[in-house]
Amino acid sequence: MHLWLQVLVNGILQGGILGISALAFSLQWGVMNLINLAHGTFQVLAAYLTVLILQHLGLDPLLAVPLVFIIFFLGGYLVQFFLINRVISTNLFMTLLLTYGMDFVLANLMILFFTADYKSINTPYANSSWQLFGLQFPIVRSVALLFLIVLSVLLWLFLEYSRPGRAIRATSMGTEPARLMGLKIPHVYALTFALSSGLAATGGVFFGLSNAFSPASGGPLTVGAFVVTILGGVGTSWGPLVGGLILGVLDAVGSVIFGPTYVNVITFGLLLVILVLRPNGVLGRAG
Amino acid sequence: MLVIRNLSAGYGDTQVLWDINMDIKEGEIVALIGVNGAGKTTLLKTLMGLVTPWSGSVTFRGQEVGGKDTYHMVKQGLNMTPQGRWLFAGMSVEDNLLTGAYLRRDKEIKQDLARIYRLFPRLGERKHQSAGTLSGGEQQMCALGRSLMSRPVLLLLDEMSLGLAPIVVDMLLDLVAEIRRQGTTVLLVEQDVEEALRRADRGYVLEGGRIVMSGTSSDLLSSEKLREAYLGL
Repeated sequence: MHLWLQVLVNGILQGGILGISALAFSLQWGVMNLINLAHGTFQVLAAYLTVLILQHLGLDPLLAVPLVFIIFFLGGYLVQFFLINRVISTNLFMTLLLTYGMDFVLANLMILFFTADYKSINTPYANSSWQLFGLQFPIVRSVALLFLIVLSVLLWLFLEYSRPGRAIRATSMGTEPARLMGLKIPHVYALTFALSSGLAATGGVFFGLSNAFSPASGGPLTVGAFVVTILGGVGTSWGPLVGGLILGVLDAVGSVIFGPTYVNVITFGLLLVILVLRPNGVLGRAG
Repeated sequence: MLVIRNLSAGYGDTQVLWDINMDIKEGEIVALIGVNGAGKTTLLKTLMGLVTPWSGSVTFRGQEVGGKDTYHMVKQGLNMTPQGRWLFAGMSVEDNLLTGAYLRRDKEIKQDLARIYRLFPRLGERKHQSAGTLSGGEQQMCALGRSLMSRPVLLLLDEMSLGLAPIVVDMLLDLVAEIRRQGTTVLLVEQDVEEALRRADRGYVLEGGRIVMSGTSSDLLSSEKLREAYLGL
C-alpha cells in the first residue's frame, strides 16, 4: 500500500514538469497551429543557460527562473517574428521542416559549446526530499508542480482578461476576422511564441534540476509535450495540468508494473487510445 | 470622404474588379447592390486591405490608402461588418465587442459598451455567453456592435440580411439611419435591392466586377433597366 502511495506521489509530481512543458507546446499549437519540433531542445538550452547563470552569476536556479523566462521570451519573439512568421501561413509541413531545422542547428551548437557529455545542475536541494506522512516529496518536483498550477492560473487570467490575451484568443479563432479588428497578426504570433518560449524555458530549468541532460535530450521532451497536449486537449488552459498529471501517474504506475523499459509503450498506447476515442483530448478544445 | 478611382483587384490570376469608380461623401448612406459573385465582398475586402489592389487609387479623407494594410485602415476609421459575421465563436459576447475596440486607447470604451447594450438589449442579456451560441440575428447584432465599438468614420456593412428573418432584417436596416445620425457614414452592401435603396441616398450597381449603373436611390428605383434585372418587374 505504502509503495503504491509513493508511486502515485512520484507520478503526480512528475506531472508538474511534463505539464509546464506542455503549457508552452499547447499554447503555440492552439493559437498558431504550430507544432514546434525544436520545443524540447529549447528546454535543454534553458537548462544549459541555468548552468551558466549558476556558474558565472552564482544565482540559484530557482531564483534564476524569471531571468531565464525573460531571455527566452525575448529570443522567442525574435525567432517567431523573423523566422517562423515567414512560413507560418503556408502549410503545416513547412513549419515542421523549419522547426526541425532549428532543432538540428540548436542541438549541434550546444554540442559545440557544451560538448556531448551529460551534465547536471548541482544544488544542495537537487536530490533532497520533504518527508510527509512517511512519503517522500522530492523538492524540485514539488516546486515544479506548484509552478505548473500557478502558471496555469496566470496564463488563464492573462488570456481571459488582458488586452493582449484577448488579441491572442481572437487570432486563434481566425486570422482574417482578427485582422479586421486592426490586430497585427505577425506581432500577435510573435507574442504567443515569446510566451511559449518563456514557459518552455521555465520547464527546462526544472527538467535540468531533476535530470541529467545532454544536447540530445530534446527529442523525448518534445514527444512528452506532444502526448500531454493531446491528452489534455489542444489550446485549453487546464489541459496541460490534467494531461501532465495523467501521463505522470500512468508512467510511474506502469514502470512499476511492467518495468521502466515499457514506459514508452504505455505512453504511446495511451496516445492511440485517446486519438481513437476522444480526438479532442480529455478537456476538449476551448473555442 | 472615400474616393475610388479605376480600382482593379482579384485573387491570384483571376481578376474580379475592373476599373471601379465610386465616391462616398461624409454623412451619406450609399448602397452597393449586385447579385452573388458580382464582386461586392471583394470590393469591401480590397477597401479594408484584406485583398491587395492591382491598380487604381483609393483615397480616404484626403489620404491615399490603396494597398495599405488592414491595421492602417482600421486606425483611420474604416471598419467592416463582414458577411457571415466572422464572430470569435469561442469568446463571450462582451469579449467580441471589446475586441472591436482593440485599437482604441481612450477612456470611453466602457461607455460605448453600455451604449451597444442599450441598442441591443439581447446582447446585454447574453454578454457572458459565448458568441457561437447566439441565434443568427443576435450574431449579426454582435458583429454590428463589434464594428461600432471601433467608432468607425465609415462603416462597410456586408449583407447583414443574409439568412435572417425579415423582421430582424428590418430592425437591423432601420438601425443604419440611427448609425448615420451618430456620425458614421455607411456603405450598405445588399442583394435585396429594394430594401437597400429605400434606406440609402445613392446607389451603385455592380455587375461582373464593373460598376454598371449609379445614381440617387429614387432614380435607380424607377430605372426600367434596374427594375427588370433586379426586381423582376
